[in-house]
Amino acid sequence: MRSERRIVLLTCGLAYLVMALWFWRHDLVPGDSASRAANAYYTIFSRDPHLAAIGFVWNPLPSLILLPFLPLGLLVPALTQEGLLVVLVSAALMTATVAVVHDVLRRSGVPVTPRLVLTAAFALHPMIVVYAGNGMSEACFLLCLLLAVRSLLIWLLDGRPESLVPLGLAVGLAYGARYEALAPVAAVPVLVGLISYVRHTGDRSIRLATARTDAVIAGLPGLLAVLLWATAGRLIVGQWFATFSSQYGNSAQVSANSGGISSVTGDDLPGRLGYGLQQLLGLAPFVLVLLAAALLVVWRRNDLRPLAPVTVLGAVLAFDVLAFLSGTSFGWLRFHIAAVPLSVLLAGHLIAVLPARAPGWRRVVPLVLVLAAIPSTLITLGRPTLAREESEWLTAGGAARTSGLAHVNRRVAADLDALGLPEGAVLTDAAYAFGVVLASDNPKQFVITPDRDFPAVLADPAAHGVRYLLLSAQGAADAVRTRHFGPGSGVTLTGAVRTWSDPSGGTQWTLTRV
Amino acid sequence: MRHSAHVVLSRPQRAGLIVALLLIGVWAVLRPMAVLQTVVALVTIAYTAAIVFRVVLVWAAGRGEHRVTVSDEEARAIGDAELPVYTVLVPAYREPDVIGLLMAHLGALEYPPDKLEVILLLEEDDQATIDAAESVVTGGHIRILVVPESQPKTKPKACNVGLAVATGEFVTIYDAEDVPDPLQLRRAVVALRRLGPTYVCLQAELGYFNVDQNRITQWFALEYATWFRSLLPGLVALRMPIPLGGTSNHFRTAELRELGAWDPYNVTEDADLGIRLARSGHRVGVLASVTLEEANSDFINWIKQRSRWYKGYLMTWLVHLRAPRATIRQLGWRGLLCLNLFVGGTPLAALLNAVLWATTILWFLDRPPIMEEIFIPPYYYLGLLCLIFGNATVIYLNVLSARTMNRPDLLGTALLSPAYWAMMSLAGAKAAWQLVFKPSYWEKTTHGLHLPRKEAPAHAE
Repeated sequence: MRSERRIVLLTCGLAYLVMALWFWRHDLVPGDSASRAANAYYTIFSRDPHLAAIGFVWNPLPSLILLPFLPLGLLVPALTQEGLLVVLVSAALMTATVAVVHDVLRRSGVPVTPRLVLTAAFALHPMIVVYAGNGMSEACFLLCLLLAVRSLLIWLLDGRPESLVPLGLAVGLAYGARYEALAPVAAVPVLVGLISYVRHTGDRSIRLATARTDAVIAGLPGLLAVLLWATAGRLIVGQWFATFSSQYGNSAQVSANSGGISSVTGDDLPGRLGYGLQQLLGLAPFVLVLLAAALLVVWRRNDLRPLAPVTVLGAVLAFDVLAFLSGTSFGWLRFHIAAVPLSVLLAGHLIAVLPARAPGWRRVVPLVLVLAAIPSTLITLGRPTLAREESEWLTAGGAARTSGLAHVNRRVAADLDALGLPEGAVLTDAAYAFGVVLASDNPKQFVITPDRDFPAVLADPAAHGVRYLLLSAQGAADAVRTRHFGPGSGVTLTGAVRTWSDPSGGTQWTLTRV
Repeated sequence: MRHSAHVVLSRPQRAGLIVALLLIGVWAVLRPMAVLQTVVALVTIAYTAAIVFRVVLVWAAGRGEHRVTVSDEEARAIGDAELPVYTVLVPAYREPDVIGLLMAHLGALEYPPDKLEVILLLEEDDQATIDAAESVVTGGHIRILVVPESQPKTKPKACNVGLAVATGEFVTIYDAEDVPDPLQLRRAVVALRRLGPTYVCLQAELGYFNVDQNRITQWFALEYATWFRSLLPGLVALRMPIPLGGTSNHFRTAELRELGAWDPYNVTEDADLGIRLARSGHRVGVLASVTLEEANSDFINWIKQRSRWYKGYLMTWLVHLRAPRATIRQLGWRGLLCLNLFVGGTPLAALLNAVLWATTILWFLDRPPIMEEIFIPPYYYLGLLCLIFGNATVIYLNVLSARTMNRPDLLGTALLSPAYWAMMSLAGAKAAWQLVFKPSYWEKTTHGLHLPRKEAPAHAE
């Protein structure tokens, strides 16, 4: 068993390492990954290093994980300047995720051959491979979710209240990674309470009390994570849920891009439903079939084990589908990634419950249903309308755009570094300029949004020793440009001393003198 | 006795303390901010360590069974002839109303009377209890020993007097109001024989018979469940010293005598004995057998009892830090951790809580800029972690205790724990004050508050 796990860990670790190095080598580290790394970077290397610089727009765990490793960037600058660290960390986290999937399959009682096939079907799923290597928060989120699935399964098997503790912690951590975890934060305690009530016998009031206490043990860490993050945001930046209310947050971005989004996804409910379904079935073509079969098992055999993945991963999927249908989400392909482990674990369960004398084909069918996801995902990833983000890294044109942006950022950083500016000489909005700040050898030359004196400097840059404003061309909410040149990205920027363009000739950055 | 709380601070300790205070005083005059920052840093680190230690104990306890379990069958399987003589010491002071019940509870013990020696330890000036006892004591195996008037008049002194005349191979202590598991003595015999001579003592679990009397007793019951089912088994799992609880500790008599028995000057002689057992290389186990006690239901009475415990823990801590080199050599790093974070840490944390909460409230109300200067970044973040995760963790563990002790209805009590901690802070302050001004004063706990009003005993003291 141990050697089996070691082989799984070693193979995936190596494969994901190669993938991570590929993303880094080709300058394809996505902006979302780099910005999480930058959020961590500001807390140590910015002009005003403080923990709250980690920001409140995105949930903090993916950045917090990077913190202990950031000082290594002093030895190997590529770790921070070129986003190497963030992709290495996502590779490590996804490797751990595969190990957890493997362990859940073992605990579900899946025999060794199908167990290894299913583990491979998860580990080699193109979506998982891509997100292991690109540094996005998916790896961190999936790891937390699968740890929650594992703990919930253990509790379903042993019923010990102590087993609810790791479950609660995993769900709480998942909220630290992504706000979609709100769904399991709510769903898990409900399921635990219901099952606890059904399982216990005796006096109704005792059963109720037991169910309530079990639900609290499973739910308190998640609830605390939500409250804590909200309170910290309220106290430090004045917003309870910055992701929804900030000008840089998800909601603002979605509404700013709503035209672009609906032109691809359709803006009526049937259109969106069709688009979302194409994405979901692209990643896991038989997930609904497996789900129906597993629920039948729950119903017919009174076997509750499939409820572990269905509750945790299903809640996340449902949350993302509803968010998309209601027009409050980008409808990215990756929002369906939870369907990948869900179908693998459900298939595992269907195999585990087969009697020993069942014909071989009944074991093979679930495996085939799961393995079919690999070609179908490859096809989906090749279609830029469905895989809008992924095609920016995986298609030749997209990859040229992504690496082109990275090169511009590095160019800007190098040119500013060459000016030998003092601390706080360049005022810029880090929501857009994170790539420039990361790439610079002199990050303290920038006054950035997380700095505690940013509002004061923004109001009167000259008085605070600012010499230049670095303005993004595209940023819809660029605070510096909006404050000094008015809203909208089409305004003329007076006093420009320098502009930088991407390889296709589009202006990306403008430097103006104060 | 070398390790006695007869004097709380030894002469070198006193001198060291005075010199240290003087130095700090001078430093505080010269660099007040540096002193404040250092104090905050040290307090934060110690506090964090105490919380981490607590979590580690619960975690360690959760990994398997660390209590010694003896089933009913195993306990009864041993023939009367093979049982050793067992001495039960019952110290009582001003408890005339509880004596009758005591006889009933001791009568329920499944142990052959000819092998059982019960010694009621009563004080010379307590005629009421002596009279009450003389009217009910019937069996030949129960006798009354009147402890002659002498100072210090404490429970451990009475126990030492009893131990001097005890004839049992094993000896244990019950309080007058205790309701021990009838098989406890047999279980202890089987367990101690099974564990072998390195184990000199077993601490049985203490629980309460009046859990639902009011909110205080509910909190108390939760606290005891955590103490005996998580923290002490955690200490066992990590092979650390076990601070004994006041009753239901079962000893091998010879080794107990050799060790010098109880320190009559220490007001938590039991915790002190636990540390001394560890220092002499003996081991202590936790026996899965419950003795029910009366949970303190009255606020004032609770504060008195708790302040005595805290004072005793502080005394024990100071006594064992007298010769630090010997302590380190004898206890090792594990024992030292337990001594500082558990024995010293429990009362100090209770005391500090009040100060730290007051600081937090002050910050939110007024945001005095000086506090930003005192709390320098690393300790500020650490303090913040303690404030949020520390409190949340302990509340969470209490919820878990409520569930594992099969009392899920105590959920609300667990969630309201912070109010109980405020009571602990009060007791901590009283303990610190008494440690300085009345170190050996024994805060008598009044028992029988669960009995109907008309039978309520005359107030002690």
